[in-house]
Amino acid sequence: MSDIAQLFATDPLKLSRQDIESIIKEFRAKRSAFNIGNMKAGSTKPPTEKQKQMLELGEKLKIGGLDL
Amino acid sequence: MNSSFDTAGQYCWDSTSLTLATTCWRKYYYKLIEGWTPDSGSAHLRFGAHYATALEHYYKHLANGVSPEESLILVIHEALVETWEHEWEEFDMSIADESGHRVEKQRRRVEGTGHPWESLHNLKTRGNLIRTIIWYFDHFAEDPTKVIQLANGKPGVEYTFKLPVDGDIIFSGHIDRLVSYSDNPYVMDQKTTGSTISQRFFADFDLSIQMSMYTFAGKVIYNMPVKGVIIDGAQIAVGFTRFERGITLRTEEQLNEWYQEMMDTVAEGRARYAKWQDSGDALRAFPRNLSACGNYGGCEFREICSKGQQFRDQFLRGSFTKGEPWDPMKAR
Repeated sequence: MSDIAQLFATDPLKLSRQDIESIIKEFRAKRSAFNIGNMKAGSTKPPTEKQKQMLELGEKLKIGGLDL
Repeated sequence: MNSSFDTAGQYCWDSTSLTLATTCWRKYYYKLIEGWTPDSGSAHLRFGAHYATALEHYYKHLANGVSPEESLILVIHEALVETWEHEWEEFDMSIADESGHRVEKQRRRVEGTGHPWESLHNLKTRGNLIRTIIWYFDHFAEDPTKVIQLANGKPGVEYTFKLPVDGDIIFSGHIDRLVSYSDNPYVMDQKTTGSTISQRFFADFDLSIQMSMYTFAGKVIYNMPVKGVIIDGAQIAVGFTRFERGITLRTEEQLNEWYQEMMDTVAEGRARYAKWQDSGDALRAFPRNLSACGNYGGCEFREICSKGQQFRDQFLRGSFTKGEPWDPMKAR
């Protein structure tokens, strides 16, 4: 059983602060890995000027669902 | 007895009951009056409730001066505890307040007992819940929305409301967060889905009773020109959670129309309740809306309603559990 699986199988009332930090660290590492993979995936076609502007605006405002 | 009902029918309405009533009166009857819950469907509700609680408590910790990292540790631990099926024990708690000293029975979890929540859904699992909470706060670490400080100095988080409206009717609900975005006040909410989040996902909320209720109540409760609801959508997948943010707006005119329609629905609900009390015939008082059976992948009662009347109770007992009906007076 992996460390994270072990922590998930442990009564959370017995988990220490370090255990919780380990869980958070593990999921952050998975997010980083996902983001790297995610950024490599998708269309290879370069965005148009208008699409670039909309993406920049969306990123700035953290608004999604622009569906370009 | 559902405490949201009096002798003339339901008088306390939240967005869940209004949505049920406008969708199908039979579904309303099964859930609000009889209290049937599908054995397989609770994973969505439980996942969504834990997720909403974690987000809400995180912002409450922040508002109380706790650091972002410490707040995250606190809500992750809380979510892990809440998704562990402990055994419970009663104990006597000594309470002293302005009314004096008394001892009350309380319940607490027994350490070292139980097991993790075993979700019956492949995506709405305990592990994916914890991942989604952690990823949410990392994704929105530079959040342009800010929790509004109310006139009484308290943060605009965790507000359960019971709002008297016309005809001795009460609208109830729970607002997680009131935020400021581009100098305008909005209610903040979050939704989870197993599908890719597109513009359509957010457009569906433009006619949502829940989002109209939030905007309507937000305006009245906070006495602020609340514009609408900002929705943080989370796509829960096997190996990842992807977030998108959208806004659904409401004008004064739209809210007025919504309010009138909801009051008409309330009146119809009470009339149907009276008809049922007079006739004893629930199936006629609360008829099926056959054009709603296929909505959102199919109604949970679709299989039941497709059976002959004499077999429906038997099928309900086979795949549903009858418990406490959804009660807007008690919800949260």
